[in-house]
Order: sequence, then C-alpha cells, then structure tokens
Amino acid sequence: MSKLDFIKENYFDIVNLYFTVHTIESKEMHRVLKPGGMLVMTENYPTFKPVDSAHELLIEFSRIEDKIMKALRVTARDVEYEPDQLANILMHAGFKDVTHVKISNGEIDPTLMDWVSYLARRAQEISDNKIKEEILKNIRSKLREAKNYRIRDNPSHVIYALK
Amino acid sequence: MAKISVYGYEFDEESWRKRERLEFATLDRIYNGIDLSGLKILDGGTGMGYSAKYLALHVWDGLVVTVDVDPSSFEMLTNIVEENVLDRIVFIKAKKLI
Repeated sequence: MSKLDFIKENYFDIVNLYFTVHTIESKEMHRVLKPGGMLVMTENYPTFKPVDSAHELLIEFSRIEDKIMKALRVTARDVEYEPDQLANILMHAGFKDVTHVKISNGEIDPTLMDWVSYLARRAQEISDNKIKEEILKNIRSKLREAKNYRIRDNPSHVIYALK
Repeated sequence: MAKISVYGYEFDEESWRKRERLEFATLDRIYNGIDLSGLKILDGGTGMGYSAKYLALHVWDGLVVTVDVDPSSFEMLTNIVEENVLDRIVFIKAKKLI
C-alpha cells in the first residue's frame, strides 16, 4: 500500500488487514490509528506440512503457480511470516498488547478450482513450449489425483495489536 | 448459470457465493465480541472486497475506507455489495505497492 499521507493521524478506530501482508506498512498503520485503536491482521500460517490430502493439493498447485509466474516473469508470491515475526514487526512499529490466535484450519473452498483453471489459462501464455507443456501436463495429472476436486485453503491466524 | 468477474476472468457465481459465506464465518470469529457500530475503519488491501463488505455491514453509521493498488478491486466491490451498504464505503486506489 502506498503512503497514507492524505489521511491525518489518530483517525481510525480499527485497521483491518485481511490476508494482505504484502501491504504491511506498520508505521503508517500505527500513525493513522487513534490512541487505543486496534490493528486486526489476519494471515495464513507459512505452509510447511500439509494438513490432509486436500491441503496437499493446494501446496502442489502453489508450487505450479510459482513456476508459471517465474516463466511469465511476474512478481513472485508474497513472503510468508510466522505469527511471532509479524508480532515483532508490529512491536517495533510501536504497537502494544500484541496477541495472536488461530482462526481457521483452512476451509475447503470451492473457488480454489477456479484458481486452478486460472493457472491453466496463464500457463497457456508461456512462450517456451517445452515448459508450457510440462506445466500443463503437471496440472492435468494433479487434477486426476484430486479426489472430488476438493482443495483446502491454508490454516490461518489473527493478530490483534493496540496503539 | 450466473457468472462473476474476478480480476477480469469469468467464473460461475455459485462457488463465489459459497466462498463469501466462508469468509464471513471467518470474519465473525475474528470480530467476535468487538462492537463495530459507528467506528471508522481502514481496510488495507481491498482484494475481492469481502472484508470491506463485512465491515460495512457492521459499522452502521460508521465508515469503511478501503485501499488497493488494483482498480479492478473497485469493480468487484461494487458487484458484491448492495447499494445501500456501498454508501458506507470509500474506495481509494493506492499509487504503488511498498
């Protein structure tokens, strides 16, 4: 997010950052909040171990997405943080009473299949035919493996911090 | 079947309605016990617009300012938010990602 210098300080009661950690500008968030105001930041846990096969599928397709975006020279995926790392960034920006709780185990989200079809469309744009065919083949084989095409989103947590 | 435009791609609307219900259930847990009525809220990163919509439904006479670098967020927001609720939302297109 760009500088919020058009917004005066001590203006907002709440700053909500909902799965947008790449926009983190913690000092600006602190400045625009009223004293006693609250930052509410919801984020995925970094993906390490899959929770189940539906979540494993998400991780596999995320890897495929990275390959497609690299081939298309598009910006890479966002940096992933542990809750403690985010809490530290916020405390350095002047926030206090920083706490975090798990908010979701990751939902079985029907729109994640739309994301997969979006990936297949983006893969068609790759000019190197060998890479393109390899990625498309990979997508097809992962889809064959998918039971009922159910994909689980990442588990997530929320951080509350006060100004 | 009704279609919805997501970042310029057309999809069936039905699964995105289900997605909205999942997002709202998550937001209910996040804001459980917090009274949002009358508050001024900054929503950093509009994206699909779900959190801006949720917050706008709960602030009543308050205000939601939602910011994104991508102008297509504004279009998606106007597609999912009812007109009377849209009155409580200000969309700002940010200049760049930091």
